[in-house]
Amino acid sequence: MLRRTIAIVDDDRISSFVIQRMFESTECTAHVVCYSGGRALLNHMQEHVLDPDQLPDLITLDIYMPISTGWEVLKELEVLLPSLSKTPVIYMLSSSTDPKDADMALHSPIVERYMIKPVSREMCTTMLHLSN
Amino acid sequence: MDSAHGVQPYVWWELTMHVEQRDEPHRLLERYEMTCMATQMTVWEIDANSQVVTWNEYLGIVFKHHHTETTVDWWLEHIHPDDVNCVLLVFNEWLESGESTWVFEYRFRRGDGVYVWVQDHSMRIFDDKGLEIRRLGSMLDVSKYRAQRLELIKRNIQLGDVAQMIAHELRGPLTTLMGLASLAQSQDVNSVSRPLIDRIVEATGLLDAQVQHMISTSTGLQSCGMPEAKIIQIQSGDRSQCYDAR
Repeated sequence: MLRRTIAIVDDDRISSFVIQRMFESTECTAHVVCYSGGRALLNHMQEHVLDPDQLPDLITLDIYMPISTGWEVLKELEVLLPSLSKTPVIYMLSSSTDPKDADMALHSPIVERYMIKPVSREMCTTMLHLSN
Repeated sequence: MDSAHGVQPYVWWELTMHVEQRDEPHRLLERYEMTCMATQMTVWEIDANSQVVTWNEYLGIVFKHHHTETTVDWWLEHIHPDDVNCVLLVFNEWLESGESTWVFEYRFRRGDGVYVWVQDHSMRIFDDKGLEIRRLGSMLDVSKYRAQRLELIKRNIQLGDVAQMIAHELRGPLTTLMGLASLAQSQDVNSVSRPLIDRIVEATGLLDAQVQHMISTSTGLQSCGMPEAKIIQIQSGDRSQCYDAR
């Protein structure tokens, strides 16, 4: 399987650590980069619009973050995506069990799936398979 | 014919009918008065031609206005300045709609100058040609009920905040802990640590089940307590901000 680049956007660094380790424990080779907020990810992607090696294959996006929420980041990603040389697969990953959050995520044309924490190894494997 | 042939019973029956018919308006009036007394309902009627409004005595008893007749303008002058445009707008919409009934809530100034929330029920009566001949209705002071309703909404908002807090502030760190426990479980650990980690995974799973139960319970309570209609402060002239009691 190809080496995949994964971007984790989560303000909780322990949660990011868990997701990172879960991805790394899968059979797929994954290069995981953690972002404590959406702005850092967006800046990185804007700087490397034409460089597919620098762009993530898969993004996990938390919803409730202090500066920009996952929804706000998603809006900016919607605008940015057509200009990218590689289209990442986006997963909303949250501890929220509120069906409204799941509905909102599924109404976004760029979200592949809404997933509820806790993250498991199986969940990470599924995300990697779906983004192949 | 004599009583043996049924004359007397017939006369008696006719007399009874006569007495009952004579007393019926009295009984209806008594029933109406008792209903008004029990509900404190102020009944009004507008004459379609003269536009004179006739009120029952509860305009004085409940609203401290001791009139039996007023003009329509008098009624409008006593509606709260912030509500009057909205009331007019919705009232005129009703008149144009051709519907026979109307219910609306607005603030009305009592004789002592205090504004109270009233629920106004109106009805139009048409003749055979579809022309309006009478318009009548009732006004109830619903201030107490409305205050209770607003308090209920306030509590529901607070309950929603609690549900949100449980959902995010509590379940967020809990899922991180569950993830950590699951990670630890997948590592090569010694026989002493293994059962401890397994118990941590089990305990966090049980705690999460309780948290999810709390979230669904508080969300369920919140939706149970919400009244069907939204209560929005009426603002002058803006139909979208009007509160329709229907």
